[in-house]
Formats: sequence, structure tokens, C-alpha cells
Amino acid sequence: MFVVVAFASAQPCDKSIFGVVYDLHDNLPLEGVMVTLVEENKQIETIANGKFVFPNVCKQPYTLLLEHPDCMPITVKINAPSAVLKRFYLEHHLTALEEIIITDLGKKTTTKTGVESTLSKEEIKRFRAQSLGDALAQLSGVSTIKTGNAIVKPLVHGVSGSRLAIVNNGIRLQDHEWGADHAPSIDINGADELRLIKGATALKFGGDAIGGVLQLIPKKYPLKDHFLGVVSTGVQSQGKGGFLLTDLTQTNLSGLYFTGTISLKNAGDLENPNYILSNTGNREQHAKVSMGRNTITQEWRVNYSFFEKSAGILSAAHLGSSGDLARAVKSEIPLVILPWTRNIKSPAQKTTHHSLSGTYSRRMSNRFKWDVRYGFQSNLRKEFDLRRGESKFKPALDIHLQSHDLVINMQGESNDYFRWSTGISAQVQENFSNPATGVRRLIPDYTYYKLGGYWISEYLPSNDFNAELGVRYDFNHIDAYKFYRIDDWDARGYSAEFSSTIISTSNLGQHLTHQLKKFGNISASFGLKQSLGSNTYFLANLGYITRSPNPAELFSDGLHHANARYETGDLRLAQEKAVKTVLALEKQQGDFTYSLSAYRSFVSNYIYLQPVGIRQARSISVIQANYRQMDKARLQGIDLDIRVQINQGFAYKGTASWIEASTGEEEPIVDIPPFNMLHELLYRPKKISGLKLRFSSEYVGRQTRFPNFNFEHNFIENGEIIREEVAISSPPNAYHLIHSEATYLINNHWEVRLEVENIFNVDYRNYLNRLRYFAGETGRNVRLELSYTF
Amino acid sequence: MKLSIYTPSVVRSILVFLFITLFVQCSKDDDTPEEINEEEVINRVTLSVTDSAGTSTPYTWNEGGTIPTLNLTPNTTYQVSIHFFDASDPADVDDITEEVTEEADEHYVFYEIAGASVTISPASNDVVDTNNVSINLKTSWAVGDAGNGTVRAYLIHEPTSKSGSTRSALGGSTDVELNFPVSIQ
Repeated sequence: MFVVVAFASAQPCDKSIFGVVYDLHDNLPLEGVMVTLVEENKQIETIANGKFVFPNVCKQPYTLLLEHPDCMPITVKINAPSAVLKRFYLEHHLTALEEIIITDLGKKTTTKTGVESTLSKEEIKRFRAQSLGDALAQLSGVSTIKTGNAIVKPLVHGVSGSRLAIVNNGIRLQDHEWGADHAPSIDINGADELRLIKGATALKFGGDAIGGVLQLIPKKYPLKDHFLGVVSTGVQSQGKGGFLLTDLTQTNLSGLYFTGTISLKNAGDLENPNYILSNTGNREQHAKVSMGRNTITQEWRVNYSFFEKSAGILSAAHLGSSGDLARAVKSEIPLVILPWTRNIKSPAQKTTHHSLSGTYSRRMSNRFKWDVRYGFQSNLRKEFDLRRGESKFKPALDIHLQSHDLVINMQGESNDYFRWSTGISAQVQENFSNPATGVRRLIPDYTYYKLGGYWISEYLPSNDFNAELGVRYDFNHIDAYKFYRIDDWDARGYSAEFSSTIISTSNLGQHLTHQLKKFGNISASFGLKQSLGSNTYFLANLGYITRSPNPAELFSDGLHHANARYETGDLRLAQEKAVKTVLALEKQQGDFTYSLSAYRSFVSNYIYLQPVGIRQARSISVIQANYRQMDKARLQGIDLDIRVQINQGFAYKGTASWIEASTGEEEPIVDIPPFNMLHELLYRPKKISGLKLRFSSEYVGRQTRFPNFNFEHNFIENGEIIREEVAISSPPNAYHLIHSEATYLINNHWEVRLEVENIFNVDYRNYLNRLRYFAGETGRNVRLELSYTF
Repeated sequence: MKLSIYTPSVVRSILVFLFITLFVQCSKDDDTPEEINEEEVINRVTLSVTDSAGTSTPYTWNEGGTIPTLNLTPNTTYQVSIHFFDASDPADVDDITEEVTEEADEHYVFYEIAGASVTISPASNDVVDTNNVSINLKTSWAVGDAGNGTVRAYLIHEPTSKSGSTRSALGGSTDVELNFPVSIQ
């Protein structure tokens, strides 16, 4: 992609046309672009910094022709060169919708006033054997909430699940996102580029994501006949695991392209430095095919992807009772340690996600374009518990979520200073809980209808300043059929308020009820960006977010074995409303780049899960936890990213995040990441070309602010009953891990990568791992990978 | 702007088409969901306490009720068998003890005693697993001096060991954990 900046001096025919050509894909100056000044029949090639100059031109309109082997030639008309900075609107067949209208800033951002971080394909590459959450955790402000090591869920600015939108191909991922043990149904190898917009400014994708929006952006292919791809395989010591990845693409001069990806991962039991983490094996299969065509004025794409993951849950974490939890917390080592195996048995979970999507976008003029996207997603989730008899191999949870999404977006410009974008989205979603499990439904059958629309205006009076104002409205309607045990129904006092929802009462002691919930959500955002000179920008954005309670928060009704916790939803929940402010200082070009951002959100009606006591559930006792709302919550923090190119050989990268979250009464909120820092030193020895070495240091502090949900348990020891507090709330100690990596590129095609994680085999526990009560984290891991790229 | 004339019609036709497909496909009948009668529920546990004269006294806990106190005589040996039931449907009570017996390898009954002078050992007619280990469905209780205390009865699913002397040493997941008060008079 070409972006031209033209300047000129004052006298007739002694003017000059200066220009810089950028590759918009990576925002770097593009060398070797043939620039022709048509009227004068002069030609010049851009040098390494993308610059070109035609001296001694007259004050008259000119035509510039820009040509590069990877790009379609572009003709640009410029009026009489003047001293004013010119802005050109250039279309490029390789750019995505958001990037179609570009300016001479050459800056490629979706929400120009938003605080963004990106992981390129190159950076994602390191995580081929791992998960989306692991890759994202490289960014400041992102942590992961884990269930063991295979189930990793990204946590942005202290929130996850429904508060974080994941957008794939322009459509929000629809899976059972609400549970802390429900990782996104996405394979990292299906992503070409990951872009995280922190804060509440990306109204295009929804008005309910207080944490931000994570976009998976498909790759743009060069417009030429080309067969490219990568074949990669690797093995690792942890779990005696391995992966295989094949990613092939055929592109064509006409703009047509076909891609196919297959990714397989397999690992057995992982190991702590001191013991085997029994039943932590993991299998993942991912396949993706897409085809499409890019031309200057239009683009279409059809995409199908399949993702399946089976993950064992640490055997020691399958609890029957609160007593089991008490004993597990008290014990230094897991209470179940079995010989190493690759097999996965109960407890386990298996998720299958199919996604079929189609996109069509069309550019009508330099100043207007639109696109339409349709997506079908099917997410099947099965959870297996320890069961007996005929039910032994039956899942205890078997839920199927099917979603249809339709999104239409339009973008345009009124003049050089005003841009707008607008769109509507519609969704129909159906959840079916299979009754064949023989376990009462955790989540009822429901149909969810969503209809939304947004409008965003952008004002760009100069290259130094721009502002953005957006509004969004969503109408959400949930139509659910749910059974309530009569005693639960009465205990929650529903009879007075909701008796009209009862359809029938069964002789098994349950009410069948029909719940209709309607929510109208208004969201808004305002952002601005001001240049402070020398590529430094100040960004500010303010978002108002409204989020309806999700079906889990409204209707949950069941036992979570990993926590020995009975979770109950609440029909009375209202919308959660938040005001989030993000202020940032950024420098994105040069040898020293950084992004420093501070954010604060005030949330009213913040929905959370509150443990309320011990409940006798049949023959055992469990912790009862209810979804509730707190009047006020405050989440605030600071994120820092720094990159320094020290010299030709050394580069440094560092991130640090601090977050604090409190209720209106200044009580801490649970599961908030402690202070953490990541430092990386990258070394490319001059003498051995193709070799790269990386050393990294990961420090995670101890969370000192946590709510106390400890409970008491009567232990029987040596014939005596001893009542002791069970410290389930206490966070584990801080830890510091050292990792290193060496990659060696041979002939530009072969790459060998050797990575050692947790070199010193530190035995530590992670506050944000839900299984931290039962076992420590994994020890040292040695990984060897071989890739062939062509 | 060039968008005015034909864009909206294109948009509209695609929109109409997709909406029709979308909603027709999804507007299923309002089928009410099937009620689930929970399986493998244990909501009744009975301790059958038989004295040397062969007189048997059942002590039964039912979900929602209190756990009965076992009245035992000092310095006596009792034969005690434990039974687990699914009594969700009073007309069709399901004896879970049979499943436990069938899957003896994966189950173990364990008693912890606090305060009371009771020594519990497997009975000679107890159910054994494939390793010939008694799983304590039938036990012999040697009662000592008078006093009050608690016997905690566990049914453990998939224990990692059946030889430990504490609950923690046995591993597995607890399906039943009930404190039976004991009165030895």
C-alpha cells in the first residue's frame, strides 16, 4: 500500500514533489517502489526510508504512478504543489475495510483514538503450541485466568468472559464464554494478527465490553500468483507433547485466494517440579479453509473453521464436598497423584466449535464503502464428571449454542475533515441443554435475540489532532424455559414477583417457568488523540458501557465440581453500567517506543459471584455461591509497554501492569491480577546471521488485596474434631520465572526453535489459576520446533 | 455521494434474504424442555446396626432431615451395614448400594471417629474389590466405654488408595459425607 506525503516550495517550476511511500501492512517505509511523474516522463525508485523526490517541477497538476511488485499500480493526481500538506485517498486491494480510507499519516489503526496493542504473525508464531490466552498475556494489561494449564482465558483490565469481546472475521465469537473454566473456542494458529483495543471505544463490535475488544484479523495476501505456506512441528517435555501445523495459501493475480490450515496439538499429563499433575492431558484439532477475492472495489470471503478441544481437569480438583475442598487446601501436594499417562479421563471437558462466515465488502467511491457479514457458529460443550453406573461415560453437562449473526457496516467521509461509520447487527442464538445428561441443567434452554446499531463520527482537522464520538444501542431479548426446584424457588422469594412465569408444577417438585427478559442498552464513547510532536501522541477516551446480565448470571443452577461450589443465578439482575476512562501517552515510531496508559472504570450494578455459605446438597455439603450485584465497583490500573532497539544486535521489550479493584465499600474484588512485569532481551549476533536469542524474565507479585471467602471446616484428627479455617481466599506468593529461546533461520526457509520455559524449575502457584488450591504450576518445559516456510 | 442510488437496494436485498433465512431457520416451535429426573442422586443413607442377638436397628438420614443419633451399648460389638438410596421418587426408591457393589474397585466407604470409643473394622462378609480389599459396606463396630461422639461416614468415589488412615490419604471424590452423632450409654 502506498501513502504519499507531498510537499513543495514556493516558486513556479522550481518546486519539488517530496513523498514517502509506506507499506500499510506493517506501516514501514517501502523501498523499491517505482514512481513515475507522468507529465514529465521522469522515473525514480524509492530508497530505504521510502522517500522519493522530483526536483524542479512546475506549479501545475501532476499525475504520479506508483508501482511495486507486490502491489497493484496506483495513479495519484496531485493539484498544483503547494506548501500545504496534501491528503490522498488511496485504495489498496490488500487492505481491510478499516484501512481503506487512509491519510497521509500512514497510521494504521481501527479506532484512532483507542489504545491498541497488536501481536503480529511473527510474534504469534512463538505460541503455536500454546493457547490464545498465553499469547495475549505478552501484552500489558492482559493476564489469564486459568483452569489448569490447558484452559486459559484472557483477562483484560481485570475482566473476562462477557466483558471482553472477541471478534473473528468481524463477527463476535459466540461460545459459552461466561464460566471461568470456559476458554475461548479459538486456536491461536487460526489467527494471522491479533489486535487488542483496550477500553470501551470499539462500539462497532458491541457496547458491552468494558475490558475491550480482541480482534483476530485475517491476513492480506499479495495480488499475484503465489503459493505460500508454513509447515511446522514441535515437541515439548511437558506432557511429552507435540504439535503439527500446516498452513497453505494459493493466491492469484486476479485477487482470488484459497487458504487451508490444519493444526493438531496433543499432550499427556503435565508435571510440577515435584509431582505429576494427573489428568492434565490436552488434545486440540483445528482446521480452517477460506477462499475469497480481493479487488480494488470489492472483496468477498467465505470462511469455515472447526475447533475441537478435549482437556483433562486435574484429578485432584474433582471435589465432591466442601470437606474435600478443605482437605485439598490444607494439603501441600495434590491428594490425587497417579502414574503418568497420556490418557484423559473424567473430569474432563470437550468443546467443539464450528464457524461458517461470509463477508462481502464494496467500495462505492473514494468516500464511501460498505460491507455485509454473516456468520453461523455452533458451540458444543460437554463436561464429564466422575459418575457411576450407567451414567459413567455420560457428560454431566451437554450444552449446544447455535448463533446466527448478521452485520452490516458502512463507512464514509463527508469531507476531508469528517468521517463517519455506521452499522447494524442482528443475532439469533439458541441454547439447548441436553436432558440426556441426567443432571439438572446448569444453563436452561433459551433463545436470545439481539439487535443493535451504532454511529461513529470522526473529526480530523489536522494531522495533529483527531476526535471521535460514537453511540450504540442494543436491544436484547432472552426467552428461556427453566425448571426451578420448588424449595429453591421459595427460598429466593420468587413466588411473589415471578409467579406469573410458572407454566406448570411437576410431581418431581419442580416449577417449569417461562422467563422473558428484555434489555435496552445504550453505550457511548468519546475519544481524542493529540500529537505532542516527535511521533508522540496523547490519547484520551471515555466510554459509557451498558451490559445486560448473561444467561449464566440470570439462570445458573448447578454444581461446579472444581470449586465444590453450587452456583445460582438471579432473575432480578439488572444491567451493569460502567464509565471507563483511559488516558495514554504513546510513541510508536523510532528506536524507543512506548505506550503508557492509565484507566479507571466505575461500574454500577457490577455482577459477581458471591460465596454465601455452606449448603447441604444431598449427601454432601458444598459452597453456595450466588450471582449478585454490587452497587458500585471501581477498577483502575496502569499499563506500560516499552520497546528499545539498543543497537543492531540488542533489543529490549518490557511490559508492566498494575490493577486495583474495589467495591463501593472499598473492599477488594476477587480474582484481580497482582502486579506483574515481563522483561525480554533479544540478541541477534552479527557474526551468525539467522540466529536470534531471547531471554525473558517474568515476575508476578502476590495479590495483597483479596476478599475473604474463607470458611470453617470440622476436621477429624486423631479422634478429635478440630475446627479450622479453610484459607481458600489467601493468594499464593510472588514468583519469578526465567525463560529463554533460540531461533535459527536457515536459507530463509527452515527455522529451528529451541525454547526453555521456567529454566530454574520453580515450583509456584498462580493466584489466577482456579486449581491453585490443589496443585502447583508446571515446572521446566523444553520445547523444540522445526518450521519450513515458503 | 455515489452511494445514494443503488447501494441501499443492494444492501436491502442482501439484508432481506439473510434475515429470512436467519429467522425462518431459528424460529422453532416453543417446545418446552423435558424435565430432568436426576440420576445417581444419593439422598437417603441408612446405617443398619445389628447387635449380637441379631436385632437390627436402622438409622436413616433423608435429605432435608436431621441425622439420627446412633444409640449404642458400651462394650458391645455390632455388625453395621451402610446403604445408599436415591429416594427422589418415593414410589420407586433406587438402591445405589448395588451400583457401589458392582463397581467395588472404584468405591470405598470410610469412617472417621471423633470423641467416641468405637473401633471399626471390615466385617468378614464385606464386599471386596478385585484386589480382595474390603470396601467397608459391612463393618464390625467394637464399642468401648460410655460417652458421646461422632462417626463420620464417607462414600469415596475413585479413591487413589484404600489403605490410608485419614480421609486425605485416600484421594478421590466424596459422594457422601455425613456426621452421625453417637451416644454410648
